[in-house]
Amino acid sequence: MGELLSGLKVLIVEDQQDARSMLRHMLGELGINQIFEAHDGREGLRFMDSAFDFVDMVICDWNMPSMTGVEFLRQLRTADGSVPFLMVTGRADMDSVVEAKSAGVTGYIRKPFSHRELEAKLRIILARAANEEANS
Amino acid sequence: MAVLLTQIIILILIGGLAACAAMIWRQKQALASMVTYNYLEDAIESTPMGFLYFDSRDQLRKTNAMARQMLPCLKDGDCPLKTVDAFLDFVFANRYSKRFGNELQSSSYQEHVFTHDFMEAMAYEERIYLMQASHSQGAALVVFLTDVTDIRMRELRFQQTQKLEALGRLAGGVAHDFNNLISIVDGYSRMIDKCAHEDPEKVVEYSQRIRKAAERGAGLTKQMLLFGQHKMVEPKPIDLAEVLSQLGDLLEPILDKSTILSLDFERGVRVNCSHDAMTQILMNLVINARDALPEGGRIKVTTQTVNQKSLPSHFIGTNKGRNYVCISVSDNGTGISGQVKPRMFEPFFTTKSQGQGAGLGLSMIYGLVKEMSGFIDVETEEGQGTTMRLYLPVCVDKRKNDVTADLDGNETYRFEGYTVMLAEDEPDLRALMKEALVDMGFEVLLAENGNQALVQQDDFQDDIAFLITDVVMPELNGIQLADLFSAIRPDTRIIFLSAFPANGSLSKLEVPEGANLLPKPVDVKRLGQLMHDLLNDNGEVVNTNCGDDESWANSYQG
Repeated sequence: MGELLSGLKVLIVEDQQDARSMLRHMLGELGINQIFEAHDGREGLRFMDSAFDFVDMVICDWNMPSMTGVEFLRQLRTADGSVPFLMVTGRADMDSVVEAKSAGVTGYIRKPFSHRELEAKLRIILARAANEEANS
Repeated sequence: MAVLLTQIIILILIGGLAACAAMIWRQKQALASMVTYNYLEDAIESTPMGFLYFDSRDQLRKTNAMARQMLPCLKDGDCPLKTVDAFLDFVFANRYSKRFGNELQSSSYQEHVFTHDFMEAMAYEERIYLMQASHSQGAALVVFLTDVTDIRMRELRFQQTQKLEALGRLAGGVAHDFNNLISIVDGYSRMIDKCAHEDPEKVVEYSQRIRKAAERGAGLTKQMLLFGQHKMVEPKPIDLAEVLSQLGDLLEPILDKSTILSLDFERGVRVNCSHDAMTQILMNLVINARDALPEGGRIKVTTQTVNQKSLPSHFIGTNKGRNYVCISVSDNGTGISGQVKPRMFEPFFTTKSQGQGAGLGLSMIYGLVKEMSGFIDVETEEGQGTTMRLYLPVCVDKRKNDVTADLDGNETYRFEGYTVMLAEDEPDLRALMKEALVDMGFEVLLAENGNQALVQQDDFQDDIAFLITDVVMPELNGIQLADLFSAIRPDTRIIFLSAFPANGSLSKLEVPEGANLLPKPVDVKRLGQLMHDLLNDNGEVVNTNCGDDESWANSYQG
């Protein structure tokens, strides 16, 4: 399923090895094989700096020690702009949703999630990003 | 003559004496005021508060040692703080000086207390006295500065300690709940080991139960994240029967064989809670009952709706005119002793041995029940057993689905308070269907393809009762959409519409077996009936397989 997804180039920003490989595995099940990994926000920013028009989507964990996902997102949005951004979060409260929205998140997914949920979220944020592009 | 002279001399002497006395008195006065002045001067200089005095012309007249220590620039000749405005600007960064000026004119004396972080690590509490001097037109300003850095640090440390303590308590409670879940996972995984070779079906069943426990764990962490706010996660009307029907499976591995759990509950009773919280409440009550039955015994869980009048007498008077459901969990175990009973709802109070419980179960239940505007009643006798009764207000369900028959016997279906998502790429058909659904009373969300339907549901906060989707759609087809939709919204019932026979030769797409499929053109009445049946949760699949009727397939293309 999903020619739309299979060609995607995705950057994963996540500090935990297990979580990175889990995501890589799930994305692989969705036919997404062009995956890049960054261990923290700084590395993610450096990567995006050199490849911002190359990456189709960023999937980033909220909770990282050196730079939080929201901080990474803020800096990314100042530097480049519109790459679709999926925030992975263990939080459930409205405040953090509002915070992520104000930083310019395209969508977020709550841990734990199945690969079906992940696929739905990927489609949602791609459609959102396409809508925004069409409207701008 | 001599007498006169003597009198004059005496008078002069008296006058001189008087003059002397007056002079001495005046000098004494001056001396006394000097002494007072010195005394005040000393007191002000040595007072442990910073002191500044501005005169009626707004000039800084007086500072003391502490003030000069706190604001070292006061020692300089060209200190910028030597006027009232400059000082207030410095202290309040321009924000208050105007206000101060106004207040100064309207009142003769005012006291303001501000805590202000002057420099990075230092916090001063400024106690500022404004005084209208009686002898002059302007106002004098007296400022006292107090150093509260130490107090602040102590407060901070105290808060930190309290936070750590709360964290410790939370960890204890969470460990307790997680241990229950872990024992479920552990129990079923052992059972899988045993039956792995003989009974693959059982393996699937047990692994599903393990997954359920993992889901509940996820729900628990969600709850925990909102713990600080003492709020329930997304309370909404839930069917008690739904929670209770899963309780048996959930508890099976943690109950002894000698303990018999019986469940007797009414269907269709709804309370405002979250599924996870209700499961937690019931699990905790049953586990408490289990612990009261060291030798095994009987645990009975029942529900019964009661009206206001049948509430225990001490609850009557509150929440008039409401109906309640009484959830009762009873055991024939050891009972609760008179000493324990008054303390049983206290947080961290436990009779269990260390590691067995954090003493949070009942206090959590108490909190949740109170949040639902309910009551708890305890009936217990030592050696006889305990019955815990929770009285929770019943939710009046605003949602309705009715069938009415007109004079000709035609049935019409009416739905209220439900939302439908309709995904259909053909614009005319979409408009037509929308009209029919609105006529039935639904709120309708429209999407012209699968991706749009996903985005729409993501923006929509409430429940979506139905997804009605065309099977053949560009980009994401109906079957793929249904698959993803049910991953994010497992409670939404899905109905497929197709112009092709289900899985016949004309169809490239295969609707999953057992799905609800209606042929196009859509028979509205049939759709209404299907929705009515699905809502009443008969669980019967109305698969209108149209494989044997291909004639319509040519005229309508989905």
